[in-house]
Formats: sequence, structure tokens, C-alpha cells
Amino acid sequence: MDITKTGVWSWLMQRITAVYIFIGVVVHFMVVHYYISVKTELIDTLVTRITSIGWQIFDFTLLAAVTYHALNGIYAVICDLGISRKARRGWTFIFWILGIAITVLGFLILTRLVAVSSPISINPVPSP
Amino acid sequence: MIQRYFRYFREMKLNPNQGMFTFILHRVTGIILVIYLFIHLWSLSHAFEGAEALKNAFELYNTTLFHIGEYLLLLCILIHGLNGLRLLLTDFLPITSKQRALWWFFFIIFLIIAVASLFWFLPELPYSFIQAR
Repeated sequence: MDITKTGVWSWLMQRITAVYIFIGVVVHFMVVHYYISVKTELIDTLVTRITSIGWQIFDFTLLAAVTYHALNGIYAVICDLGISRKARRGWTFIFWILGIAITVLGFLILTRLVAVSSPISINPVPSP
Repeated sequence: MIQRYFRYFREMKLNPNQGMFTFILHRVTGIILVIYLFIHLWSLSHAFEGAEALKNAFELYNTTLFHIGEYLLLLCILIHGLNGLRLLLTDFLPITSKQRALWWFFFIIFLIIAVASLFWFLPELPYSFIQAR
């Protein structure tokens, strides 16, 4: 990441979100692929987990952090192509709109997952 | 404009070192993970069509092809994550002089996790052959 092109906030926020994602992805991966084995009924265990508010907050904040990190990363890649200052500002605007759209879509998917899974939840998993 | 990107590969050919290699790997795995993020959201968006559609969508992922893909995804996450941790350490701690040793340290951690995770991934393969038919 070229700090002279992307700016210092872009650089710092990329580091801060990286730390959160590093911890979050390990937890997410362990919960989804280790704690919930493929051999169990995947959908049932997934829905019992997602009905607890703690995991919902965890999932949503992880999605917001990952979206920021991903789009900021692509922004850095585009900046490395050697575009003008005006073009950089344009890309920043596009990526903010795209990022907010993805986060809102993710929130809607999450609420929908909760709504879909609420009736079939049998034994709720305690939140972290 | 895109040709600017070929200079990284030219640099890699002229001066083949660990730093340039991991830089290219970091970029490539990063772009793969962004594409994966969109696929992940899309597959979860089947929830809009109800629980049955979500279940059917997940059935597709319990096939051999997708289990191999899952392992490749894990490798991408490991490369990007561990290299990112190495970058964080070199950015915020005064250990730039020992960065070559740090590279090998993280490479060994990567190898250990990549090999150890095969114990979880390989047993799923024959099972998925039966499921997918």
C-alpha cells in the first residue's frame, strides 16, 4: 500500500481492520467449520447459532470490517496503477457507495437468516 | 495503464527475492478473497427465498470440487493473514533488521497449519463423493 497515494487514514484503518479480521476470521472459521461439522445437520446448527444476538453483532461487525478492508485493498491496487488525484477521489466515492450498499445488503441477509431460522431453532447456542 | 502491473513480474524476474514474491502473492490472494466475499454473500442471500432454498444452496457445497476449493480458500486466507500479520509486525515494531528471519518463521507456521488442516479436510472428501453421487 502506497501511503503517499492512498492517504494515512486509509493505511491506518487497513491495519486496524486487519487486526479485527484476523481474530474474527479465526473465530468464524472455527465456529462454522470445526464446531459445526459437515456431518451434522449444517442448516440446523447454523440457525441455532444465528438466532443469538451476540453472534449477530459479531457477524455484522465482521462483515463491515471485511468490506472496508476489501474495498480499501482494491482502492490501493487501483492507486498503484498511477491514476490522477481527481480519479482517486472519484474511486473513493464509488467505493464508499459500494461498501455501504454491501453492508446494508449483508444486514438484510442477516435479518432474513434470523427470520428464516427462528421457527426451527431447537436448542440455542450460547452467545460468545 | 495495466502494463504498469507487468513491472512487478519483470522486477520478480530480475530480482527474485522473498519480498517481491510475497508482495505479488498478497495482492493475488487479496483479490481472490474479495471475489470470494461476493460469492459468500450471494450464497447466503438464498435466505431471501426461504429455508429450503438455503438448504439446497448449501447442498452444492458438500461436493468434492467445493471441498477442494475450500482447502484452496484456506490456503489463500493463511497466506494473506499470516503475511498481513508479518506486515503489521514490521510496521509497528522495530524488527525490520530481522525481517528475513521473520519471513521464514511465518513460512514455517504456514506450512504447519496447511499440513495439519489436511487431517480435517481429507476425511471429508470420500464422504462427499457418496453425497454428491
